[in-house]
Amino acid sequence: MFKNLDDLAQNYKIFWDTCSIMECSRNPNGIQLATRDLPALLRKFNNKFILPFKVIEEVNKNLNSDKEHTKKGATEASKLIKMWLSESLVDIKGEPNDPFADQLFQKVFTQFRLNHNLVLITNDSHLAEDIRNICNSKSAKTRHKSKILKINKHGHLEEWGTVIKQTNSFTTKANFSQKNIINKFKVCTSIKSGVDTPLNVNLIPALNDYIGSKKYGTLMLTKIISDKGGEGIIYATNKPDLVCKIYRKEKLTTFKQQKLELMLSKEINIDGVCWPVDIAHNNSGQFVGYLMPMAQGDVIQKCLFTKPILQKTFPHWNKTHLLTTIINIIKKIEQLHQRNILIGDINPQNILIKNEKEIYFVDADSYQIEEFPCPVGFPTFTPAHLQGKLFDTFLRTQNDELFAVAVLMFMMIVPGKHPYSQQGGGTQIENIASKKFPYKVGNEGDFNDTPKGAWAYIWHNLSRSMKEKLYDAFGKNKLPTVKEWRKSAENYLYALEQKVQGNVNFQHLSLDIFPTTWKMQKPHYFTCSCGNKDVMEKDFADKLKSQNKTLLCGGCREKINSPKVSLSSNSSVSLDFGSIFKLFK
Amino acid sequence: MSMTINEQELFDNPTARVAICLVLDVSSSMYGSPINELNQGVQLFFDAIRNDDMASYSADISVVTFGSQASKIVDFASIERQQAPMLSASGTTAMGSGVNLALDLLEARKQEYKDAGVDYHQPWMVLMTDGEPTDNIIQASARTSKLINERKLTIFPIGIGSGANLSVLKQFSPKRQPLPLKGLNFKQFFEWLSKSIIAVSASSVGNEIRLDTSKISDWATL
Repeated sequence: MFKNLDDLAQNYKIFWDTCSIMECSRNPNGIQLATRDLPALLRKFNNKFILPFKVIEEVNKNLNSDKEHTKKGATEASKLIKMWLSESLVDIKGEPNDPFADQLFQKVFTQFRLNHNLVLITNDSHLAEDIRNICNSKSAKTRHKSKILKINKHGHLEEWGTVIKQTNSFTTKANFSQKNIINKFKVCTSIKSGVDTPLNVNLIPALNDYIGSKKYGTLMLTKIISDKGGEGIIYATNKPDLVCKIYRKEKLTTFKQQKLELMLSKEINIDGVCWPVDIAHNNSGQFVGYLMPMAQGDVIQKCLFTKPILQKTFPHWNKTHLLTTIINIIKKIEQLHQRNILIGDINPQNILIKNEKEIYFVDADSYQIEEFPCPVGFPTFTPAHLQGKLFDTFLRTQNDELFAVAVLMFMMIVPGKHPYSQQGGGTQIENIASKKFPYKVGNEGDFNDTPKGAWAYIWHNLSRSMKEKLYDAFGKNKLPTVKEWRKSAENYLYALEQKVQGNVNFQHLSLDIFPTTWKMQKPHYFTCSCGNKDVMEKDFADKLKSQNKTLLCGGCREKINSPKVSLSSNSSVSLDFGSIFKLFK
Repeated sequence: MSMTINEQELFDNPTARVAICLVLDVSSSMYGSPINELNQGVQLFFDAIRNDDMASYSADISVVTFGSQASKIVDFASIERQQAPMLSASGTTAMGSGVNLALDLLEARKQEYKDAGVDYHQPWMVLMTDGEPTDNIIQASARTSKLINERKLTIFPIGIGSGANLSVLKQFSPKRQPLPLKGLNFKQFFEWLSKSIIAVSASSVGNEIRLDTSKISDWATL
């Protein structure tokens, strides 16, 4: 327990994070701390709490949460904030286009820790770790102090351990996270022994039949949602938001039942992961399937990996929306890993997007949990050494999963394209085996075999760090961790948000999901005489202007001078990437 | 970079393609209701693919006919720019040439995918006849058999009416039995085919495709 409240109130700028306010307001001791003890000291030393406006937005958003726990916490937190406001105990700070609260705290600490004593009260281990890293950075010496506190389970302030471990191991990661209670599964090294035997089930419920659930009572199967899967049929039920998977008779086995019971033994509490909530029984009380929350939106195979459908479904999207989506997907994977759950069969048909913030993971019953393997897999998301193996005969490793995560990252940020697709390639399986990655970053790799079309442009416009991570994964066989992917995407998003706000240091980054030119160092936007808007390097535009030449868009330039690239079936034609590149690289 | 529409369609769409060639008998014996029913079936097939979000970006269709000679009457392109052909019947049954031409087209298309770095599923061929070949099929059937055994081609040999020589069709298809069409039930066959292609387009490259063979009894007498 942290005791020196006087010192805090007298000498520190005190910041609260959303989760710590919510945690505080849940506990009588916390309420006492936030409404009496600290306020008394603040008045004494003429100090105030500081709240980013983003935190208030988050609390307001949580007021509408589907989860009772979150909703209740937010309600209490909002009472607390209203009290602080009415008694002038808090300064609200914010600017339009502030990044998410956790990035904002990082920004604030980076900027002000050299000149002020700062304390952040947060219960988010990731944020605590990030802020700790900022404060530990040796590059800047300061006499000022920074502290990171949390509200412990007794409602008291407590310091985060002096060393917040920087480890990517699945097991240690969760130890210091207090945000949610993390129910972890065991880590197993071999699959379940013994013989999986069929269950003797006398009736498989079908459409309009009833099923029984201990938690939800009798439910009717009202509509077929999907009968495409090999394992069973997914039905809507008369309870909205709850769907039911009924297995095919031959898929109902003792292991299947045991795996589901194991899954149900722990609540995982990850938004959007359609985790089983109860077993479904037939009218003889036999196990026939399970109930889970209903997913919404479209599979990413369609709405993200197929350009015309992406543009039709999310016409307003630019790269910030894409990155927000990616970050939210990665975070779910990270949370699953913290619980020692591997998805196993990561693929573009079991992730659904409603919008960039509402994302659903389905097919959770196939996840690898303890000694139960994930029995299926997409070859395109499978590392070379596992190609052709039977997935139900072994347990995947963390590294196997990281290959799938890397492929997913590439196919989300270079939408729909597989990382190993290339000119002169073979089947995707052959391409994965060859480990030839047809992209370039810095002095590594080249664009000789990049797939034809705009793929090289899309790649070239990515942030340097993102390209390096992708190159590590596919060019060097050095798979980034899930956390590294998240960091890279968050930094990229932060930079793009800076650009949107007009920060000149980030103007070279493109907001287009499908840019049609190489990355511009200093983009110059103009309208061609044909009416089309286009962009070219400022130096090039200045040069043309100084020669009294008019600026032409790509289309018009092509009509005038570009030789046609012909595609013949027996000779490999390399791309002419246009004159801009040649002039400036 | 200047590209034709064909090239742009080929390069820009990252979806893995399945090239399909319909190889259709238009010899004089098809005259009358058979060719009319076939036309309607092919029309329905084009519509079904066009109306499915995923299949329309994945299916890559061409059509070859054979009468006295083989001709390519629909070339590979985006389904949005394609029209179902209107076939008329005349002449003999140059089946060997038809299959050879189809294989050449599929091979060339696959090479285009490879050259461009476009992902693909192994191609499909639908071979339909109501009689027997009037030319030599030894080379053509050896080619299809080899590809099928190497898992580089899926073939659907279909016999129309009682005159179709199924044992000849079998020479093209070492694994799958030729299917005699029940009556002139082209419509049901093409419905099934488009559903199968929709299933493929929703699958990832290299995944085992489960064809719903239980539906085959709808249109075939086995």
